[in-house]
Amino acid sequence: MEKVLELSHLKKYYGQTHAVEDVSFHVNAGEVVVIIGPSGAGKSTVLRCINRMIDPTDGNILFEGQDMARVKKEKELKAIRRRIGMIFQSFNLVYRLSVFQNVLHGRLGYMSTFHAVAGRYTEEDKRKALDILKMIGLEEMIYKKAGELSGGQKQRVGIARALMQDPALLLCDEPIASLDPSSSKVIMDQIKQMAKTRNIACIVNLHQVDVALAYADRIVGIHRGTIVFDDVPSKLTGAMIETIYDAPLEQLTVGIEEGIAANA
Amino acid sequence: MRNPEKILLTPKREKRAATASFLIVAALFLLATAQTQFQPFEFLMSMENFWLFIFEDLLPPKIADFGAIAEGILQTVCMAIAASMISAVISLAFAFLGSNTTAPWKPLKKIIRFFASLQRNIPSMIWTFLLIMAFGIGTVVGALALLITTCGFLIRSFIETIDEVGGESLEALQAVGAGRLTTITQVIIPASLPGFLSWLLYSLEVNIRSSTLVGAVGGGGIGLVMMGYIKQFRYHSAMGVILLIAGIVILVDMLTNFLRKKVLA
Amino acid sequence: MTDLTDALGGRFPLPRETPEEDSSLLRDRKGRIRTKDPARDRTLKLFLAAFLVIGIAAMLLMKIDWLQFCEGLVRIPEALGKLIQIDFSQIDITFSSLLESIGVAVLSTVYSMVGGMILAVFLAKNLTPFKWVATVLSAALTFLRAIPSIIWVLLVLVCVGFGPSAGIIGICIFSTSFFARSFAQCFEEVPEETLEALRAMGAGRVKIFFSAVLPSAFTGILAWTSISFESNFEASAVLGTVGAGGIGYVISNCMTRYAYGQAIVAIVMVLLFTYIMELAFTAVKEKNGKIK
Repeated sequence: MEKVLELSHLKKYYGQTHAVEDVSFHVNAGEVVVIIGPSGAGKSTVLRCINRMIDPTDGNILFEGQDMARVKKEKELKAIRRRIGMIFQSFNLVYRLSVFQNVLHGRLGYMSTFHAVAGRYTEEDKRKALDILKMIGLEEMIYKKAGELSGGQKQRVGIARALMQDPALLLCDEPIASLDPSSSKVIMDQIKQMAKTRNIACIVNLHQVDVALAYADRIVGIHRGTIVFDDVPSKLTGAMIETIYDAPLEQLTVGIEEGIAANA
Repeated sequence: MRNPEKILLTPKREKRAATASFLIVAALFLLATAQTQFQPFEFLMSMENFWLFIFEDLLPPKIADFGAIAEGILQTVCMAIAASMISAVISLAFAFLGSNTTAPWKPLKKIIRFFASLQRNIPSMIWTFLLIMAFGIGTVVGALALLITTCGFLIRSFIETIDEVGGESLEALQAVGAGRLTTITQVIIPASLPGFLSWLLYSLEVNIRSSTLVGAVGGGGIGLVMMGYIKQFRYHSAMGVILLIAGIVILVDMLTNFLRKKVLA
Repeated sequence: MTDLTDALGGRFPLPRETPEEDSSLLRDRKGRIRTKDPARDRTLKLFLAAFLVIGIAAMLLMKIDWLQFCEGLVRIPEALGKLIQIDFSQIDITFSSLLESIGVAVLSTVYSMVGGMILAVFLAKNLTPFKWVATVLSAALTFLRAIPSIIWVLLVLVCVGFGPSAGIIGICIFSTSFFARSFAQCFEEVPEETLEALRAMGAGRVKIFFSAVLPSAFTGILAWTSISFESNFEASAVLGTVGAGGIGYVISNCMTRYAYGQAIVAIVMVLLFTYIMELAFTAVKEKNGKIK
């Protein structure tokens, strides 16, 4: 399998606080890697270091053979960022704009400054956006304002925007944390499906272990900025979960035990 | 045996803050009373005078010089509208240079904020005095004074609006690989447009009020007409003008409220 | 049906998209797919266009003497030169008038806060004992609020004579009405369910007001008070320019005496005070926001 991203010895220090301490793992094309860990463990920081929304203190980020951590020029950085889609916990859409416009935002990185500033998308891009919206089940909503949609629909727009980038890698930062259970399932199903059908490498930050067990090809457990687990879901034991979350299993959510039971 | 501790309904810190602020206000109140020698009861005793003044001197209102008054109102309203519009355009440009999320150059941001604060913290009537030194009495001065304070106010408000909408959706476009100018036109302007308009309407309300005041000290328009009547002790005519001003202010407030509901919904 | 389409398709090049897809898509004049529905932003665009037209009309209707304007621009350096000759000789009087202006602002804010609070109880739709009282009061207060506080001061000045009293009473008239309206708004924002719950427990009007309404409206009250104090100080600082006392009188007096160096000292004092107030209120607001 083709390795899309390889992190080695990634570190991020904020003064004395070590947000990320020596993180190394890799992701293959079409693979869904779920990062789990308690809040504040550094999951979000790792994700944002990958596309350099945050500058890492040290380490290498090998994406499609290029070291992201060493890219200096703003222009090069932008060119690489457009190959990396990102999905956010709070959707990060522009609610005043139509669903269509929000999805098309995914193309901005590919356009000339003149066309991007004026928001002049090609018919080809529009066709492509329509196809994606249809696939994701939002074709009825294209002219609605993004703010008028439900939470689950907003996140689907977020996915569509990321797919417009033709990404090789998809970073999902707590994509279902603000959603109800049934929308969460739809979103996770779609992320997984996109990864498989389009052969996109996918990193998903989650704090629900049960969801991680159900959707991950591989799980990476982070505790206090370091990786304590990196393997297939079936190897994730109750004891391991306790180490990751620093708490006895019975204090964690009920869903975890159910997930383990389903896995066994 | 120790006394059982009193159970507090609110956190200790909050309670202490409330007591402290109450004491500060009380102290300020006493100091101010001592300093200004203000006796509210004295005024209440002399209410008779007040009513006499209202019913004898002020009422009924009179519209004396219809032409001059109509012209004055037109000038005042035009002054307010023009000042709001021009300052909105100027402030928009400076707000993008001064906002945390869009500022291209940090020192420039500080300079813009400093000047905006200077502009709005000097009352428009004092600006009028300063401007009269160079421009002499007239509508030019009134309009400029309004322009200066409105710019100061709108720059700050627009900056706050941009900073508020920025954050999250801005992050998304950065992740997509879009440039700074693109994020401004594609994210910030559409997202902050309602905020901008709401502040613009508010500035219009404020300007309608202050354009009469600016006029009273030499900025021209209806304020100057009113001030003239008062100086000549023609209170009936002054009252007529004041009622007209009130009418215009209420009308404009109703209009802006209507627009807020219609446009910003 | 399909046969016909096939037959036609052979002869005429059909558009790439299928008909049912087309029906939901909007196109512009050149046949390009629209990315937004123009009808949805129509009122906004209409408003912007109207505002622009009216604004330009206002500029043209304004009697601006462009010659006067240009001459004025030329004279700015000269004026600045006069202002820059700072003269501290009157600093003691200036300072005491600043204190007087601050005193007027404090007193008018405190008195009108109390008055506004009482009126607000009768004005708020969810608290008022009689609906008609709220309606009548609302109309009366709208009128009081429509006249700027400086004009009220001018009128009061005529009957109580020169001195801080005129300023305090005049500003109070405006400010009480302002407080009543904004406090009433804060009270109305307290959810009806909360009031209902308390009523169900048998709490009376007064108890409900002090135990539920006032605490939940507290942040709003704080914000309005700071806004009102700022505008009251502004009013009290300038009311001297129309004949009442305070620092405004010093400024206008210096200006008429051509003592620009003394005037600028007074102006800078006003500026400093308003600036410090702005900083203080922003700090309080931020701290409050953090607690919430």
